[in-house]
Amino acid sequence: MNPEQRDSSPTDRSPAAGAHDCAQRLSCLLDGELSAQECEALVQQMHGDDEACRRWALMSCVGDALRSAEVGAWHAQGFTARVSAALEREPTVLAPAAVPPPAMRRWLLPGAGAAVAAAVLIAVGLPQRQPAAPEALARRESVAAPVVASPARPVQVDRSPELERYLAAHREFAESTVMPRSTPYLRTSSAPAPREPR
Amino acid sequence: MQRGVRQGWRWVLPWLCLLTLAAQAQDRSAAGAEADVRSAEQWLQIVQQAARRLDYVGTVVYQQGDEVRMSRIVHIFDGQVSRERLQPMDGRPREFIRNDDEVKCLIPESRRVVVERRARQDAFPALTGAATSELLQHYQVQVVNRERAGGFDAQVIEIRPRQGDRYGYRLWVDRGTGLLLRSQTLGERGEMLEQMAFAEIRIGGVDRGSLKPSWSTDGWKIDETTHKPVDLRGQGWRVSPPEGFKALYAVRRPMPSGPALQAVYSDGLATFSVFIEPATGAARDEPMPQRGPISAYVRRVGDSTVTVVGEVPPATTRAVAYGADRIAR
Repeated sequence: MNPEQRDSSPTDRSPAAGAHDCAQRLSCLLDGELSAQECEALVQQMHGDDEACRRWALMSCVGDALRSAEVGAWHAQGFTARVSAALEREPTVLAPAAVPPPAMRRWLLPGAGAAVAAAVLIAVGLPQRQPAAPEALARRESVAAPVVASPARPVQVDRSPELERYLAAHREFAESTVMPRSTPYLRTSSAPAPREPR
Repeated sequence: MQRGVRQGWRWVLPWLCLLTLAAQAQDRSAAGAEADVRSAEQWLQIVQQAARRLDYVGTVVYQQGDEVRMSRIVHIFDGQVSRERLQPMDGRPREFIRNDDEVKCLIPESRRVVVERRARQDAFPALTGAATSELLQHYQVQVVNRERAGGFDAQVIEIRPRQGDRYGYRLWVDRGTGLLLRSQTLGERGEMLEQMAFAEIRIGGVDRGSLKPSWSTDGWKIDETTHKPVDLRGQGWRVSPPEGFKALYAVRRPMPSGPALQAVYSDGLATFSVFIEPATGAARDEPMPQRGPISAYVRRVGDSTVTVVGEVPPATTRAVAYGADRIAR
């Protein structure tokens, strides 16, 4: 699901043109194995082919559900449409240079489940205390931009490896009377291995 | 005159009825308030008890700035030991299995179990019961409104710092069980620094089997480190924490760069650690990048590096770093 990979993949794999082969090629598209031209052709063909569109949605849904039940749940009726509409309204989304060819953009959206849903969760799902603060709006835009530029990659904050090390050591002792004991681990769950083997 | 009195009497009955009704209404509301309103202090104690004693399983969403993470949490209390399993659902596969003060981090890609054991140090007070009243010296705790959270009727509690050297919190507590369903850490201007919320939770009736990790750790490398308690002063160091922060632990522990001293301070809600290590490289005196409520400051003191890390404002970690001093042994 990496756009660069998809664009630069070898073209020697030329899928048969028959409609029965549609599923095969959709699967290749999902796996990022189609070249830019093949993507373009497939997307053109899918225009107006309801059956192919349904199959695409189903395949994305199955893939996401296999990865995680929560991501799978984001395929609820109309979710993709709402996310697409929300992204359409974001002018900055189209700005980054790394945006894939326009025809692909729409087809990348369903597969971008995790990243898009994360952005939407921030933007609408989890109400902030001061939702209209200018910094918050600015941040929201900066969240949306990388979402389309690299759909499969989760939005990450800059990590200082040095800080991670101290955080991992700190969380062992970080105790609060009211917060659950696991809170420090929630904070740092994506941290690298807590301690280097010595 | 007589007519006037008689007319007055005519009004007695309606007035009596009205007053009786009013008094009854007031009685009812007073009784209702008594059953309903628990003091802020009581709520904090309830939350504290519930977190340890309740069995629950659920999905928790953690948000910090642009980042959203989901984790599965199982918690079981058997009357003696509080056991927990935390399963982050994104990032690299990891699992944290906690048995009271021992946490095992399972790292499947390197087939490693890192055991973090935190020996209770008798020299320091435990963060329980009594701490709640002290907490109120440094925070203003207010029982606010009721809202739904995680599918439950929740009481919202606001905790505001009396001084700017620590953060505030907003808690959503299940009115039925006292379980913390949602919490936000709030900055000076009330902006949200981090948030955790149960997207879905089941309280009670949790199967013990759900504490079992996803992977069998047979043949995995066990990486266990014991932290040796130390006396910071005996080591020639003095740390001056802000008022209300008490020393919880002081240990000598291995860090990737070598052995370090770690002293932990808490005011009951926020914690910070002070790491003291032999200095390597150039002298430094700078903050580290902030992450949500976590700030850090590094400072060279003589031939040592002092690093302060914790869920406190940057000015506080800086002040603590500057307050760390060598003392004559």
